[in-house]
Amino acid sequence: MTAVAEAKIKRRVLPSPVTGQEIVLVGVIVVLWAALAVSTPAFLTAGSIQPLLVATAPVALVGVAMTIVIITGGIDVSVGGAIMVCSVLTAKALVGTDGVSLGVAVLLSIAAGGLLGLVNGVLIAYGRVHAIIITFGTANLFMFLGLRIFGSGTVNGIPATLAFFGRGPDGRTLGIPHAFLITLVITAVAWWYLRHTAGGRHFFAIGGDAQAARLAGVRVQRRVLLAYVLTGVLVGLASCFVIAQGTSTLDQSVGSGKELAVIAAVVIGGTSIMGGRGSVLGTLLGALLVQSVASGVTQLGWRSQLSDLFVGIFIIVAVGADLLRARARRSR
Amino acid sequence: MAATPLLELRGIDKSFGPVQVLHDVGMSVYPGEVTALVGDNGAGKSTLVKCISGIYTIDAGTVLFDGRTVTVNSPRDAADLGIEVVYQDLALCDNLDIVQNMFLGREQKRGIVLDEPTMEQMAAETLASLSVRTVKSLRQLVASLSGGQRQTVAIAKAVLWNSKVVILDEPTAALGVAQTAQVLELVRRLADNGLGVALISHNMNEVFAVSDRIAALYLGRMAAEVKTSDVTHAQVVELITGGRSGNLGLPPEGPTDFADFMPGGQL
Repeated sequence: MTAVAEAKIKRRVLPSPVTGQEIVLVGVIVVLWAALAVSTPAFLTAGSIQPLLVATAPVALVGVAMTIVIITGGIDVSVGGAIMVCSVLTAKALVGTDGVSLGVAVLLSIAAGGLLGLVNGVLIAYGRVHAIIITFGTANLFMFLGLRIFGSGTVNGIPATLAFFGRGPDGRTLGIPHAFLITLVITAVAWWYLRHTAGGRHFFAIGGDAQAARLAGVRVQRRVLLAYVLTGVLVGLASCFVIAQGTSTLDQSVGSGKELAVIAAVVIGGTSIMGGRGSVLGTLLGALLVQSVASGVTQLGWRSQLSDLFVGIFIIVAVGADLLRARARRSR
Repeated sequence: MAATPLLELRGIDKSFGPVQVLHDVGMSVYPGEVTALVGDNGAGKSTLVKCISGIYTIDAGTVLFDGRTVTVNSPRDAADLGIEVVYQDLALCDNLDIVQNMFLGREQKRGIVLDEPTMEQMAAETLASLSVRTVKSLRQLVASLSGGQRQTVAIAKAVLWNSKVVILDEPTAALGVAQTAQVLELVRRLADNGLGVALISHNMNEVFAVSDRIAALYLGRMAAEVKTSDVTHAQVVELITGGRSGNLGLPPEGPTDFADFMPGGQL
């Protein structure tokens, strides 16, 4: 073998572990936090950052799975409805003198979420209809199901069983909220899996060209099914976070609009909505940025609609940057 | 040349519902030779390839590999035997790099972790053995490659696995003149390295430039299998368009598919 070929083998074999988008996001978050710290001295305190991290956790957690789904070229707009079903089911199980324990509640929520994800996954992997149509349908179905479980009104008197995931002192270790810590660990595992295992690579291949992946021997349907089941499972866990963050009352607005918040975080994180490219680390940063903006707008005493405006601008900038990158790659 | 074909098909029948696409097709691919599979559109070339590669299951007939009867029910079975197919539409993922594409579905691992250095080295060695020098970096995305380079990667992917038979479905259909020459040279080199190569092509110049044998399909029947040196351009064209040429090809009085519908019987 020639010296050139050997030199190639010795150098870094994979592209850099952090994408440009992620570096930009870290920069934007740092600047934003610095600006907020200057304008509202209370911002850079534990009392302000801790709730921010807790609120980021459910969106980022579902975002991890959503990133994988979008990498395969799909999308799941039913996560809002799924969060509603899981939350109300789990909240009802917690209520009363015979309310379930923390472990049982988490398992119940995850099982329910996994089941909903399985429904999506089977329909999308074996039904050969585009994911947006299927999940738009199941989103309505899940919402109907959630409202039926709610019955007439709200779920009241939810005990503090899930305080481990909550905003209070029980929800922190060394000052770091458990919900955020768990999200961080799951993001890290997903990042590693996508980058260093064959299964992870197959998600990217499916998003690039599903037919080519199939001919190469990738079990496309099984992979796609797995992506949606994983989404359901993480929706189940995120629902526990949602309950823990709330008051003792759960109302019917739970989960509403969450699918858009999650997709926004994924897109802002640099994942291509066309599939084939993306990063869970970017999604975590995207979720953190969106939540920081919301928190900052509140603390500055601005009207909360402004937060939507900023998120909208971020999405457009992120998608624009993605298009420019794709164009640059093609012309290279 | 070697007496035993590497791949031999006998009496292959294949129907889709009421339509019989392949009738009693036989074909042989010999090691160290390029067998050109020719035929008009709809003659059944692609169907035959998909039967060999296990995407379609055959209704009747025998497939012999290295003299043994084998059953191929999936692309995986074919790959396990050492039969690789390079598809017409270049089955590569644009968003993955060259190494990732070459190993897609058959990644090398250490435990559960991808073994990137080994895969890079194997890819580099395979490309070097095919004397491919046109790619800049093995970590280039396939999206950034030219048509000829993509075809090269697809072929390199097929020979990576010590495969014995490589089937190429119109590898030059989308290529320019220079790139076509490069790919044909590569096809020839595969055979010279001892592989059995089957090349589907529409281009007579290409067929005569690179093949040792020609197998001509006509309306789902094997019209003739001949040595390239024994026939002329004109004869092959007649075989493709009419199923026969002089004393070569299908018997003239054989019942054709049209005979039933045409007043006066014969065409």
